[in-house]
Amino acid sequence: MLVFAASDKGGTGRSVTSCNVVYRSALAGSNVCYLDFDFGSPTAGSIFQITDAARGVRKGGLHSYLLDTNVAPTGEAKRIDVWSRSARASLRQRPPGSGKLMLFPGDEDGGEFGPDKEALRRCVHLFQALDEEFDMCLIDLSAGRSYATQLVLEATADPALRGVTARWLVFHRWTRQHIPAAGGLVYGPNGILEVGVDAGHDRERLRAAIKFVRTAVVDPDSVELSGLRPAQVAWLRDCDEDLRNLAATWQVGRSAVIGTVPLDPVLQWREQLISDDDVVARDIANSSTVEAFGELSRRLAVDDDWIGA
Amino acid sequence: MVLVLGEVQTTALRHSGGIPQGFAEAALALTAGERVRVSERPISYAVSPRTYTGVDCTIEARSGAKVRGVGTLMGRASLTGGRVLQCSVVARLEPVPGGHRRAWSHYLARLGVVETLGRTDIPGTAAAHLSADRSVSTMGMGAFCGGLVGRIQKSPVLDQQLPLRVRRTVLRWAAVVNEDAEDPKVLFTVREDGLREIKLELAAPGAIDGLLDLFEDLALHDWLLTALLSVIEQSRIGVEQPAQSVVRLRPAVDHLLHLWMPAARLDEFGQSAWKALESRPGLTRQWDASVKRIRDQMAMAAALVDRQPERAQLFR
Repeated sequence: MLVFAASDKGGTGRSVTSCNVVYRSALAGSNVCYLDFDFGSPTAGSIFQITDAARGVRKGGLHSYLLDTNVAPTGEAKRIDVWSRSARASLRQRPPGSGKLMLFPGDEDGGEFGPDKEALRRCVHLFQALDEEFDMCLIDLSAGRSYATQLVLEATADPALRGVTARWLVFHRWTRQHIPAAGGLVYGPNGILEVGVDAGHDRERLRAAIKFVRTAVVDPDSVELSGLRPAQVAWLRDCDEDLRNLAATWQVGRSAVIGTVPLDPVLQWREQLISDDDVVARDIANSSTVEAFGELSRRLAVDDDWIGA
Repeated sequence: MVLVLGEVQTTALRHSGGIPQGFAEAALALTAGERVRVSERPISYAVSPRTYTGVDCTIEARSGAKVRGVGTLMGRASLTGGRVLQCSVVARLEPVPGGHRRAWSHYLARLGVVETLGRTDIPGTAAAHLSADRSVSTMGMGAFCGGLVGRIQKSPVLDQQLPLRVRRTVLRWAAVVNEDAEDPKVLFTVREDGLREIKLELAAPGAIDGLLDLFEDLALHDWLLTALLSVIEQSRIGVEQPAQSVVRLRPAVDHLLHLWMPAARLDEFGQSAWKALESRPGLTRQWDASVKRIRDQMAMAAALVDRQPERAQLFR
């Protein structure tokens, strides 16, 4: 299964949520990999705490795999085994029964690029080979309408990938600006649907394969907000109601949502993987955040949640 | 001294079961008008016609010395047991004096040969080819090979359902023909990342097909063993209930166990090379032990099947 993570705006928590979802899937026993297709700023290395690839690798990353004109290095894209290479001690002890957790980093000196037939061919080969190996490949795309998004839409329309399930997660914060932006990214002009149909996808099937993830959501009823004054809580409730109406107008309402990630202080201060240790032993992260990641990774694999795709 | 370099990539065919011979022929028809050769005994086997690609590139020796190589790489694909796909690429390096590229007709008359223009460090080139990691390959052999795999895997006759998920293995080999060499020497190394290397030293160059058959056969059995071990690892024997482990072992029983047949189609030279490898590292020994382990797990699960918790898991 290929999972594409997209967002219209930056700062939605797309990368950090995606990394955590991949991590939860690996803990549950699936063989998973994370592909950093955010060519402008490949930072997944820092979320997994891979010291020498925090901002991408010096050579052989995904950007050069797709675009390098010299064929000698294009055998395969560089990969980093997170279980053995993370600087974080709790990650380096791979729990028994867990699956592979592999990072495909970007290049330090990457950058966006334009349409390229050879890049498309290599992209198709990459997805095909990784699908042979992994239960789930999560491809983290850069924010907004990028060529990377067009590239993967064209690649997944290729006959070589016709048997491979592809699902989309569109991340947005629960705010007045982010909701229309996420709707626009999917349904708007030059959005995922329009570009996808041009690339040869069936509109309805593609649409059913796209779901939204709400991030940094504040729940007015949560314990954390118990210190607020009644007027503040009432105001929050009104806002929440407002946003729900707005989401429905932009077709990003309940039926299109696959997950909701609560606001978590740990993620606000530092983008990182949240381990069970952070919740239970160190008590710095909220258990509801970990549950949200786990739920998202489970629902990704449940076909009933993606009917029509 | 003559140097022959090659690479073999091995993977499971993207099809839910073994495919019938007609399908195999359709999938492997790489060149229009040329036949796919098939045989049924002792195991079903099909091999594509040869295909070629032109190269004009830098070839690096281990010491860092570089030489320009011009010529053609030869590739072919084969399918064993209607189940395991292998793509293979090979080139013979021939040093020629002078530093000028000739007309392409010259190279097209010598298919599968790459001429190196200038002083060539043959042992160094062999060492560089073998020691490279998976992201680099001599003369773009990996890209050519991977391209062939991709092309066959997308064939419309395949249903695109993978029976098991295993990483493609890459076997790189170098055969050094050295008149002074005594008995043929073969050295097989298992590296991490599914990368294998074989260095072969021999006195007289046999037919290139004999070499290809040998290395493909080795790569095939190494892949089978790798895949089997990976299935066993994921079955979590001892952690899960026996019935649950057996369910996870099922792909091995369905798709792998019947394919082990070392040196089945090899000539005398290939047979002797296999024999040398059987004493060390002993592929068959490890295979047999793993198969026994699977059968023991199944026997134990069967014995426990009347116990309610196991039963519930097995038949849910």
